[in-house]
Amino acid sequence: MMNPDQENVLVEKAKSDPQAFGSLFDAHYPEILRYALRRTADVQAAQDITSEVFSKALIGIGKFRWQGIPFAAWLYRIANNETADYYKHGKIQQISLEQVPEYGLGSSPAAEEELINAESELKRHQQYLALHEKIVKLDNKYQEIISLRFFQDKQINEISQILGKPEGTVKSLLHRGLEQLKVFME
Amino acid sequence: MKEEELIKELENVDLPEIKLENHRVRLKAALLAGRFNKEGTFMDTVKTQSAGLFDIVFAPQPAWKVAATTVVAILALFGAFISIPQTSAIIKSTLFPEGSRQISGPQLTAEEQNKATVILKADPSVKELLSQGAVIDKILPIQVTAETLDPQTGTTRLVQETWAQAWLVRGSQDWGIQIDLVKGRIISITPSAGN
Repeated sequence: MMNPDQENVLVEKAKSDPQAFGSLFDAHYPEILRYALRRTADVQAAQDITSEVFSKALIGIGKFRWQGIPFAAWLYRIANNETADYYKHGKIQQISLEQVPEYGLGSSPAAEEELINAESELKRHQQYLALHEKIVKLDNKYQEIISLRFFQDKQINEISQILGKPEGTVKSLLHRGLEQLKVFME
Repeated sequence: MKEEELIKELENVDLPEIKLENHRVRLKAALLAGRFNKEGTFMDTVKTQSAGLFDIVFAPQPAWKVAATTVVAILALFGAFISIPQTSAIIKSTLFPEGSRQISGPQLTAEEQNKATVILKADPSVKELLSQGAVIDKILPIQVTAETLDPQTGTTRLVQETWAQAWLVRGSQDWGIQIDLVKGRIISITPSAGN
């Protein structure tokens, strides 16, 4: 894992160096995909959200300014926006890999098989899926915090950095979210 | 159910851990191929919003041009420091008018610019930001290649479309907005990390 200074150097380099952006991508792709999957419980949606997060990161990295918070926190913010759009509109209204073969890549048997296998694997996690059904009934701000805290194992200070909210606010929101979730669980 | 019990359940749930290697490889290749191709992309022609004097972002300029621009910039700064305030202001406003951006590469036509502005101003989220004091900073083209499916024949073909990338700015905050000019809608609004 990179220390913040190393990451800062890499981020600056990534503004003009494809290899550097590739390194950032490799470092953060698993975590963002995991988050997108645990927010949506939908492998296809998680793929699309992850694609959009890194696409937007690539477009926006030229304007990214190091302000002492991890690069991952910015990626999480983009992921939260994309996930919110997903729930708002019921689908990803963005460009998926299949729609942008300027990159020379479309769907493939291997990709489809991977998707099918992943969906089968997801269905094995019934307890998580049952929890997810309740969590998605919550307001988006509570969904974000509960997912970050319990599904991504983020601490309060990390959630504070991701959401751009004071730690006290994060704690309050977490408590209120859990109170509401309790109601849905009963 | 007590909160402690709920927390325990959340902490102990068996979470899905799925790897999508094929997707990872394709996405990475797609991003790097699209962003850093030799013809240059939209981002290759845009100077960042940084107030810094030397922020010319990844535009493929000849070395002599970069050096000359740097020299001019240094002289302008020096002149600004030592000259009377009014002259300093004149020098600065001539060379680096506040709010202007030096942009090279393809631009939107006037019609596309107008269309992008109309789409922007019709969006509820953008309206809210504008009502809170945000301004439209610049609108630049994005070239997008999309694959369309002919429902009659089942064949696919590539089409080139011009979209737009706009920025809203409010103080030190800014938002990047992608606009589909063909379908007349906003694709995304992304706040920058500093927001």
